[in-house]
Amino acid sequence: MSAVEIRGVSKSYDGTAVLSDFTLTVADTFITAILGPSGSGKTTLLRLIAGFDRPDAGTIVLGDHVVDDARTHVRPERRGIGYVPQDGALFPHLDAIRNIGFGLDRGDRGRARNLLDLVGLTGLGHRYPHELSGGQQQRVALARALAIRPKLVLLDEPFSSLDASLRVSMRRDIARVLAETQTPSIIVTHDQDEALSLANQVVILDEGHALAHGSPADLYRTPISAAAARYLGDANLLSAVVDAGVARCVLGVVQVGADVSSGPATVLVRPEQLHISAAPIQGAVTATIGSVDYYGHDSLAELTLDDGTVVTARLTASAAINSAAIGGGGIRRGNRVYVQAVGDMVAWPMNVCNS
Amino acid sequence: MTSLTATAAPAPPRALRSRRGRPGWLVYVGVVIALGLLSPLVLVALDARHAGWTEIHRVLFRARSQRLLVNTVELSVVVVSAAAGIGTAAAWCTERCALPVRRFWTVLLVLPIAVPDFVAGYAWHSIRPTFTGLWAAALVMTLSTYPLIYLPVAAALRRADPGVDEVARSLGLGRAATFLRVTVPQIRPALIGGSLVVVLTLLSEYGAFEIVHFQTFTTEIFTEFQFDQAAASALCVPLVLLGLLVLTGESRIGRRGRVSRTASAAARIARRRRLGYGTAPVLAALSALIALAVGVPIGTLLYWMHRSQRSTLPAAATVGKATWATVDYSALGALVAVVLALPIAIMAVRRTSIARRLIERSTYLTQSLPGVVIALSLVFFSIRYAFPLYQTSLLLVAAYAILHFPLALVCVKVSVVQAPPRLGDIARSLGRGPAVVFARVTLPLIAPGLLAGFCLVFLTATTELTATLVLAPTGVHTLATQFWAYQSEAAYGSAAPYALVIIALAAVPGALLGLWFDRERYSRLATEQSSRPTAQGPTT
Repeated sequence: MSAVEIRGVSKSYDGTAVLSDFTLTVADTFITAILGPSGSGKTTLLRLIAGFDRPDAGTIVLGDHVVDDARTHVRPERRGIGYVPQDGALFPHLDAIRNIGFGLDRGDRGRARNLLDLVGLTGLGHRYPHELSGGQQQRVALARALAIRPKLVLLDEPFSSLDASLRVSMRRDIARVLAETQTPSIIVTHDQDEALSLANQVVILDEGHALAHGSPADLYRTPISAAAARYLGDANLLSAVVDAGVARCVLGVVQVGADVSSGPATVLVRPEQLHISAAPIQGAVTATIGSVDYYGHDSLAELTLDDGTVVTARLTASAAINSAAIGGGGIRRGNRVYVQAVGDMVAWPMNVCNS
Repeated sequence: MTSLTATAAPAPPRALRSRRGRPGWLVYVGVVIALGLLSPLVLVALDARHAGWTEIHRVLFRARSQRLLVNTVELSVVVVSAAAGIGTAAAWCTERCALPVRRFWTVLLVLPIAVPDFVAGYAWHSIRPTFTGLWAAALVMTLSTYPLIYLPVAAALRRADPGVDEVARSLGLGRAATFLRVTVPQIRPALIGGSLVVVLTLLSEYGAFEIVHFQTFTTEIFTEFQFDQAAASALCVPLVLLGLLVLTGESRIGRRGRVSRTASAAARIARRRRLGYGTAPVLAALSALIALAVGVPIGTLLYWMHRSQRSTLPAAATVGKATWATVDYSALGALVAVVLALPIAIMAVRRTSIARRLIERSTYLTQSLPGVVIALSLVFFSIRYAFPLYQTSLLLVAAYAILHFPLALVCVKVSVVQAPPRLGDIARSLGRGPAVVFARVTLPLIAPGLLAGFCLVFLTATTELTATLVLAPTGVHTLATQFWAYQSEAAYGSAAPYALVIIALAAVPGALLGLWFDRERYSRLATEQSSRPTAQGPTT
């Protein structure tokens, strides 16, 4: 059974189409991330699912109930969907515990208290929203959404207003809480790391339509198109000519799957598939190191190939040290290195029309 | 992250606001309310036409009218400059300086609005009978209108981002330069809005000017009203035109100089500066201001009461009756004004469109109509079309509601912003129906604003004289009309108790208002929540 099924949904505001003929099925897995840039219709999608707005056309099915079509519009209070907006939107006149208990019957105060413990805010129930930090407000907002035992929780960029260090721990906590309460959820985000690390399923949204969906690993390793590859992770997209399982491109000859048909193609080389070395390697091409972004656990180096093409390579910390040891010069701007693509690449035959 | 979404937001914020749209029926309710409020304007026009063009021409182009116009303009310039200076300085003291017992000062500084202008005029005039003319009128009006500037400017100073001032200082601007180039632009809309209200107050003032023998259109209308109704109607025309001129001027200037807070993440309140040796002079200046604005009127009233023989003082029962009548009419008028303001405020805040803007702005027009004009138009209306209503208290209540509607709207609008529709959405998603959501989320959030609106209208109606004089049914005496009757006969002692009761009645809501404007609890959070998506554009 699918958690949400959206068929042919359109919605425009003041004549500007935000979603047009949008179709998407979200499986009943724990966490689905909808990844897309600003303005791609993510929030609109959530608002339609929650029932705050009504689609201009199309059908929305929750579980096995049609909640929106030409004749039906189930009101938000009848849907049983929890909603956690970007900044929490806590009721400013209620303290934390009463915010959580808002959707509960009066007799059910115990549940509100349990949820407060679950989101790690034990003892802060009497605090008002303005006395809570941003992260704490988000936790209360999640607890409040979970209080009604929703069939589905929608989270609209829940971490975007938090600082980077807090974001990672919040992400983990929220994933834990959602798993513990066995609540399917949809998280909208424009942060790739968030989508990849949090979700069981990722949907890539672009300009009002779903570009690709699948598990994070599949989407990263075998994206269905060059556009989808660019959305998730860093990607070097090179034009190539494929012939019998190998592709010729500016990096020389690289391996691609045997099922790729021969002819002109676009080949995807992830930065970590590029090995660089100060010493010559068989089949490698030469390049000049440009800027290097150092991240500690790894580095991203910009390499200019001899024909002028710029590619990005990821270097693990140990690789950087090794190369420094071997070549003496190491990974420094201006150094000449040898570059080789290792492993199987993904390639898509290039259509004449979109090349 | 915030900055990222802010820069990468191509869609217009318009789309975002309208997505939180609410049913269009509010617009129709708004149209009906606006038409009701504007009917006096139409009636004035009809009445003036009834008087005939020759009459209008005769009244408007006599030398006397020119004198009245010059008087009005001169007074406006003097009072607005003085009140703006005093109001802004006072706001700076309470908001940016660490005054001892700050709360106490914020309340005291607002109290002059509880002293009716005509009582202040009477007090000063009774001290020295030669206290007349432009400067007398200017002094009385400055002391009684500066809170109208102090309140919005103090609120703006509190909202203004102190970080901006600090950045200006780091860029090498001195304290004074920072104030002029950074702070003033931030408080400018509040300053302009407050000045507008001051000018409109001056246009419609009658009692104080009558006492200090200063002639304006309003005093002239009142005099003519007693002899020649047609001339009175004709004189309303320039008054209404002046009001409209001020109002359109405000919407022109007010639109420029948009103030918005960027990055809501680190919203801070400015650290209040310790004054050190400066404390004593500042406190002395504030005390002097309050002594002049509140102390002198109350002291004079007490003096006259003390001087009078027991026999010439009015019986407690008559004062009680007048008090009851005043409270009754003022409270009803305030209630009606607030109830009518709520749909207009929701309509205007929750969704923007040209129609909604027009409706909302048009309701402010009544503010440019002096009390005497509205009162006359209601008299005209009842005599001609609804005679059974003539001389009933219903008309007086209607006049109060129409006259003070903009005041109610300002407060209600602020509070509607405190209850952004998205909170309602969340409440709905938690399984609550619209009625419950209104009762448990919307109402608690807007209640303080509704109460503030009620207080403001109640207070203003209590101290209202002109419309009350024209419309109070025969035999009904309010505090204001009784005071006026005695003071006209120079029976200062008999008049004093009525004035004291007015001040006492108005002081309570006045103090409440001072506190409401000074509030900091959760209002900041709510306004941020409502303004954040608009500032960033849609973050889909």
